[in-house]
Parts: sequence; structure tokens; C-alpha cells
Amino acid sequence: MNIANLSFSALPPINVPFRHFISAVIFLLLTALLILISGEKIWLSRWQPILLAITHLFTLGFISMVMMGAIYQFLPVIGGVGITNVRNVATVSHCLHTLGTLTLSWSFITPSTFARVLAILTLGIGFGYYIFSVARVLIKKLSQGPAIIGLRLAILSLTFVVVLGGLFIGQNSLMPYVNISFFADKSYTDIHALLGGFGWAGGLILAVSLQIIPMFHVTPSFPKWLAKYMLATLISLLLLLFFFKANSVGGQVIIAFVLVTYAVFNLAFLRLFKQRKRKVVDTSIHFWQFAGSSFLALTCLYFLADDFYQQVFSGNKALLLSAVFIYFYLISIIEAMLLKIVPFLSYTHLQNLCLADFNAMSHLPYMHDLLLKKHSRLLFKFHILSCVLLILTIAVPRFYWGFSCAMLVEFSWLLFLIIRSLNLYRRCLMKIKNMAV
Amino acid sequence: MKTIAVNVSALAPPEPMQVILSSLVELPNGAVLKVSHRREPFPLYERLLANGWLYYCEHVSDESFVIYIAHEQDKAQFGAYIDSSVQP
Repeated sequence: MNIANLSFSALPPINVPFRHFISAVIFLLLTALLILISGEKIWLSRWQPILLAITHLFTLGFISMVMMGAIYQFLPVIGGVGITNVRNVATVSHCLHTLGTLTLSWSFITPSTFARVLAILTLGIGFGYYIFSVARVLIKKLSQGPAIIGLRLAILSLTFVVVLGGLFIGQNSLMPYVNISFFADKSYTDIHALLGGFGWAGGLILAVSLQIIPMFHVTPSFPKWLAKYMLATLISLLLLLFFFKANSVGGQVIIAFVLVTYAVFNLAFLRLFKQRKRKVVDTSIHFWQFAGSSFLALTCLYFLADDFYQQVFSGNKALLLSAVFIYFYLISIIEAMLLKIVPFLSYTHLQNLCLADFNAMSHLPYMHDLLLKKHSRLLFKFHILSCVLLILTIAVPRFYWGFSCAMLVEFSWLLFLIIRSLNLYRRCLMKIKNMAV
Repeated sequence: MKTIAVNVSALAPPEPMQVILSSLVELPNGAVLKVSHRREPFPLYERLLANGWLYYCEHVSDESFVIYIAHEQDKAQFGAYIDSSVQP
């Protein structure tokens, strides 16, 4: 019998995930400003230095920032064990990640050895400490469910991505001491991007979805074969790219398999939402559905002939597909998750206080007051608008300012929603604390 | 021990916790709250223990868990109740 004998690490303090969420949104506001001041020339190719800076502000500054913050919260919920000394891990890795993302972006815009060395050190130590802390929890004997196994694979992918990224930044600085000239081959950049997109970000979304879609949206569970084998298949395919160059025929076939495999996951969750018993209107589901449909469209776009890209997007196939994947897919899903996590976390932290004193329940807000439905709907509309303007900008770069302004509006609004929820949490917390006094 | 049963398996978070809290408020002395859930509510456990409650989780199937909750002061009776009512 396990009565009262188990010891679970506490859920992290609320400021741990929230500092990541708020910083992430601020990074996107910075990105929007950078797009606004950079003009239309950056949209000519994905190798433009400023566009590389923008891409890393999206992937490191927003996507990874939110995901790292969310993992602190997910581990105790889905695995029953939290990170040891979570405050310290979060403070150190968050500060280094923020500084590293800024210096890396700066080093793309104005190349300097100092910025590159600082980026390697801050991102290397920040990610290293974070991965080490999460891995320590993941190698413990946790429940061996598919979500935890998926989380392990996502962290493994992140490790590859960070090491590859470090070698890219260090190419110039390390070259006199270590021969890594083979790294100049662009196919390693493709592996870095694909492992980051599908292994780390996509893999984490897949792993976490196995739990949170059925849990938060009361859908049936994912099919067992998908939960068990899909992510392992995906990561194995991605690792094959170390042996087949991404631009070779073999590499292209592997990428096609990756897309089709991941499309099956998207079809699966779209189907689960259709099978819900309680069809409650929920903007978060609209974000998921938009993301899933976008990914299916992306998979079809991948197979279109190059003529189409020449005629409509000046031959910028890679830029278009990357933009759709990052902005239409990953950011939509992250916004869907934030719409659920932000009010849920605020509410849960208050609710936990009620177990110590049931009278505190009278001060609990309604959860939908923490994030009003009309506010979420407006965020979705802003997102659709910025998506349309992004496609327009890739086709006709002189409309870049429209996309930038739409981003500023969308992410200012998201920042307002997060801060509003946090303020309401603080007001209720004060009431409960005053009552205890 | 008297058993009060609630089923939260079709509810979305945070409703299960709301139902559990409301049921604990009204739980008579010496009674057990039996919660049917579709997942194991790990974060609830530590809060229960920290606030003077005992729990026992029965893993019925992949998507079915039964959590028994009682006051710490009823530890002896609760132990006997679990031994007699729950399949090992």
C-alpha cells in the first residue's frame, strides 16, 4: 500500500514558467521591430544574415523559451517528479538563454568574434545546465509512458541541435585549433534545422499532446501504435540525414517520409477533436485545427513542382516552407497551449492553497475570468491576419511592414493577456493570504 | 468506513480538482472519498499529504484510476479499508 509514502517534488513556483512565457513574447515583439527596420531585402533568401537572426529569434527566443518553461510544469504533472532545485535551474538557464539568444542574433547582424564567443558560452552553458537538469529527472525510474519516452527523445534531439549550433558558431573561432571544415557543408545546416523543427519542437509537441489533448479537451486517447512508435520513427528518420545529404535524392526521400509521418500525427489529432463528446467552443482548439490543417497544406506544398515557387515566390521554396512550419504550425500550437496553460496554472496555484484552508475557495476566481473567451477569439483573429500578411510578404516583400505591424499587434495582445491573468492571480493570492492572517 | 464516490473522468482540468475539493469540504469524519479519474493526478498527491490527507491510488487500466482519500487521523481504519476493499 502506498499511503502517504511517496514523495513528489512540488510544482514549480508560478514565476518559473511565467518568466519564460513573458520573455518569449517580448522576443517576438523585438523580432517584429527588427523586421520593420530591416526593409524588404531580407526576404530574398533564407541565408540573409538578418533573416537568420530573425529565424533564431523565433526558434530560440520564442519557441524554445516557451517549451523550456512548459517542461518545468509538465514533468511533475505527467511524470510525477519535478526538477531538483528548480528555482536555481530556471534562473540560471533563463538568464543565459536570454543573453545567448540576443548575442547570437546580434552576431548574425553585425559579425563579431566577441558576440560569437559570448553566444557559444551563454547558450552552451545555459542549454547544457538545462538539459542536464531535465535529463537527470528523465533517467530516473519515472512512469514509462509514451509521453515521458517522447520527452526523452525530444531532449535528445535538442542536444544534437545545440551541439551542431555550437559547432556552426564556433567554426571561425575554433578553426585554427580543430579541423571542422567539413561543417561548411550546408547539409549540416539542414540537419540542424530539421532536428530542431521536427525532433525538438515537433517531437515535444507530439509527446506532450499525447497527454494534454485527451486531458484538456476530453477527447479519446491517441491510437496506441501512434503513441508508441511515431516519435521514435521520426527521430530515426531525422538521424539518417547524417548519412544522406539533405539535398541528395536519398535525403529528399527521407524528408518526404518525415513530413508524411508528421502529417499522420496531425491527422490523428484533428480526428480526436472531431470525436469530442462535449463540443465546447474553444479558441485553443481553433488554433490546433489551424495548425494541423496548415501542416497538411505544407506537406502538399513540399511535393509541388519548382515552377510554382519560381512563379509565385521567386523560387524561395525553403523560405516559404520554413515560414509556414514556424509561423503557421509551431507558433499556432504554442499559442493554443498558452491559452490553456496560462489560466490553468494561475487557477491551479490558487486552488492548491484551498486544500490547506477550504474557506479560501470563496476567493477563487472563475477560470474563464483569468482569460476571457472574447480575448482569446481576438488573438486568433490577429494570428490569422499576421499569417496572411507573412505569405503576402514572402510573395511580395514590399508588404513586410504589414506583417511586422500585425505581429506587433498580435504579440502585444498576447503579452497583455498573460500579464492580465498574472495580475488577477496576484490579487486573489493577496485576498487568500490576508484571510489566513 | 462510509464511502462517498465521485466520478471526474469526463471532466477537463481544473474541474476534477474543483469537484474533489468540494467533496473533501463535505466529507464526514471517518469517511473515504472515492474518486474515479481517467489519469493519475500526481500534483494532487503532494498537496493532499502536505495538508493532512491520505490517499491510495488503484490503477484499474490505462485510462482508469480510482483514488481513495481520507483524513490522516483515520489512518488505521483507512489502511484496513484499503486492504479489504481494493484488489491487490
